[in-house]
Amino acid sequence: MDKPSQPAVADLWYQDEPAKHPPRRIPAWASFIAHLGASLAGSDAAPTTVALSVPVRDFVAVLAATAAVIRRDQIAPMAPDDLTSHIATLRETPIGAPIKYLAPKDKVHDGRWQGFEISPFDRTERLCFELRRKETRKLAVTQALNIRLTGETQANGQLQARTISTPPLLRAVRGESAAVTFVTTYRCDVMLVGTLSVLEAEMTQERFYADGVIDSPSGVLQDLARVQQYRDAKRFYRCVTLASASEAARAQMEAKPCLVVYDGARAFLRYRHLWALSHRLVVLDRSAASSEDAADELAQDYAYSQGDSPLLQRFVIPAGFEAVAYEGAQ
Amino acid sequence: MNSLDAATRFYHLAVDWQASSVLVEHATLERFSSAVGELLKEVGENVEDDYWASIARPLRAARWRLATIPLAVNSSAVGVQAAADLVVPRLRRCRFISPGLADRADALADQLEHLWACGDDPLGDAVRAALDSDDHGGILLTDGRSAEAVAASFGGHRVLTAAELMRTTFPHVVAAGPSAWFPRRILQAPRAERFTFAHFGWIRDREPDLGLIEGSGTMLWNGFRAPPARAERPEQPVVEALDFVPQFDWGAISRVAHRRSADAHGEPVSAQLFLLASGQGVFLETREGAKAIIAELEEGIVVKQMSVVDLSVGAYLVVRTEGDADYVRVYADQLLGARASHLRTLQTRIKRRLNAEIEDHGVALVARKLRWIGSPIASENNLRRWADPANIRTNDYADFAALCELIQESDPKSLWSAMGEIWTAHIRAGNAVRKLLVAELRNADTTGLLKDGWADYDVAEIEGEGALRVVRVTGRAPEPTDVPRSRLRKAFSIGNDLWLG
Repeated sequence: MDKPSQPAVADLWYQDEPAKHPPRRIPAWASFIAHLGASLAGSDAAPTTVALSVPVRDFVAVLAATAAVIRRDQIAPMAPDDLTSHIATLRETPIGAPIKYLAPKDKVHDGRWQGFEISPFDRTERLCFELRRKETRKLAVTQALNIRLTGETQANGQLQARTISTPPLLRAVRGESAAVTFVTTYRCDVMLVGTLSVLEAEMTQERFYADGVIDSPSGVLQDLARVQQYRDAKRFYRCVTLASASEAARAQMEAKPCLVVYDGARAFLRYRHLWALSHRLVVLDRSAASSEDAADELAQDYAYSQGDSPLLQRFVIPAGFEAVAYEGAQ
Repeated sequence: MNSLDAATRFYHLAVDWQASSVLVEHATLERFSSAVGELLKEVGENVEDDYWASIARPLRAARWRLATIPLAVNSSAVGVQAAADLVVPRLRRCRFISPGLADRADALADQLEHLWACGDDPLGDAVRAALDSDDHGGILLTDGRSAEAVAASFGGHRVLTAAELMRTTFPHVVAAGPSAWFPRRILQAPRAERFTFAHFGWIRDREPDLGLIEGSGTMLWNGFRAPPARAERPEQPVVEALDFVPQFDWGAISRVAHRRSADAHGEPVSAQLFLLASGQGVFLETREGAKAIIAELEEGIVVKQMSVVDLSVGAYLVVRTEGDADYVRVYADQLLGARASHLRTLQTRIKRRLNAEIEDHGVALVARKLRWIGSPIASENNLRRWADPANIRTNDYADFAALCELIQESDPKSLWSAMGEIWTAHIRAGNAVRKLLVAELRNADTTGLLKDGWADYDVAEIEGEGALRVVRVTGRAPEPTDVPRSRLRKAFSIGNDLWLG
């Protein structure tokens, strides 16, 4: 359960131009987009396509992707919260798997999982893992929640220990403990296809606030989305981008994101055939001539779908949008 | 990138915009427009004949310009006099060609002679009145070619085309022509609070259809208010806006294009004719796999290859203004340096010998021979592609070795390696040209490109004459045609007599 004090992406605040006034809530259209991204990420229905037409594409794809990433982290956290199930997971974890050990004072140690063993002193079970300089730690199983699996299959390079600083906005949205796990683990929850330079600017240049006071925790969407190709997220990420003008790499094609966000007609026309098991959000900019071609393709896709999805029924769609949702096409 | 605030403004515009129409009346122009329509109706299918086609094209074009350029009737940008110079003598000859229509033709010739001296500016006056004291209003034209002349007449107001409008915002835009003549995205994604469509009263606009996504449960705001119905005038019927738009006369354009082929050389190849916003045409080869380089401007600037079969109206094609039209080859030769001459000689020798074989024995027999020698994929189509002088080498060495054996080249391995050098240079050249052009486009002001539909970019790194021209495709011929190879990719002027859209 989220604590009430943790805002969702749809509840963020921003500062208008010039920045003379306190932050204000993001506009209704942006809030709708964030809710939509989170809903798609949380949907366990058949692969669902939501197509939107918008008067301008700015921030639509990045807000949806960010909200989807955060939603995925809430419903399928890489940070364990159930001791019994986490111990069960560790029992199935292969020896040598990379782990993070969360020590006091925000210290995070890289480590390799060594398995369980019985202590010769008190005959109780211990968790064993190796840290840097071949140091072996053995903890009581009650401390298992401080051991996090990174998602990697192999530990690359040297093991390190460092103090992790998490972005304030991320801490506000996810809480201290989850934020540390968030920035030290990786998974591709969202594939974002579009023009990389534009997406990067939107992810990293506009400042958002956790609430309406100027000194509240603030940051950029990249702090929450952790796009692999942008700053500070190369190794530990939750979102991957693909340039709509470039060839997809094998790793991108083989990714299994929960949600694919197509930012613009070119992205959809070029990569609509990939990631058949993922939900899709297609953003068409009505100011672009190429959107007509993409809309034709979508109409065909819709015609062969299994029918309308109820997903949009829970929203009041703000004026200025066209929207359709359907299940099981491609 | 817009800020979140700036993006929000577009959402407000999308639900607030209003559009109205101003109907412009001018009895002389209405009679002229109606007379053109009546004459062409009487001519019927004969309009395809050379005589009538040479009259119909300039008349339709003049009628179109009168309805879309807010300048005086006798302004050179409207071009009534130029049209009259062409058409009036032909209309006067009608008595000897089609006596039944002579009276109508004479009457129309009289009207044209009167019009070219007419200094009235009804459309311009209407646009001016609609702008009123609005200092920040923009003037929207269907075509950027007359933008400069219109801007000179409306000092202080920005004159723009739809492509430009989509990149800015205005409080008020006055469009010269009914809404149906503009891309529907100007109202689907409005960039102004208020639109006024000034058009002649005898042209009926239609209610714009704004929906883009089929099945959408929400409708877009439609602030378009249709003008009040005009009183019926039985003698001068109202014309639907879309029926007024002139169509390309592909037959005439194709004939002109072929006349210009007289001094061309090389074997005939199947090619598609494209019309360009620069008032030019260009032939592009249609063989399977043939590519053209295009620039995309809408979603960031991208320069990439596209199959000629997929090239459609609205795309921005990259051609060279002068010199060797194959600029990738020119740049590849620069990369090859001193080796280029020797390598190209080898390439030419292989192609010449292979083509001689095909000429002597026919493509079917040569393909069979190649398969017998050991080529895995020597079909007739593949053989034609390999014999193409622009082709460098086969994909598979086994095919290349078979070709060399057939044409009695004794050292296929060294030839394969030499052709590999050319191939690599072409790949590098293609990538380099793309990067150079993207850099040019990013640094340049693209206003002219969006307004006029074309602009030249002098890429200093590519040696020889001629800049790279990025130009919007305005038409695609319905059928491919055969042209000499030397005509491919070279843009040529179509001439003012032919309508370019």
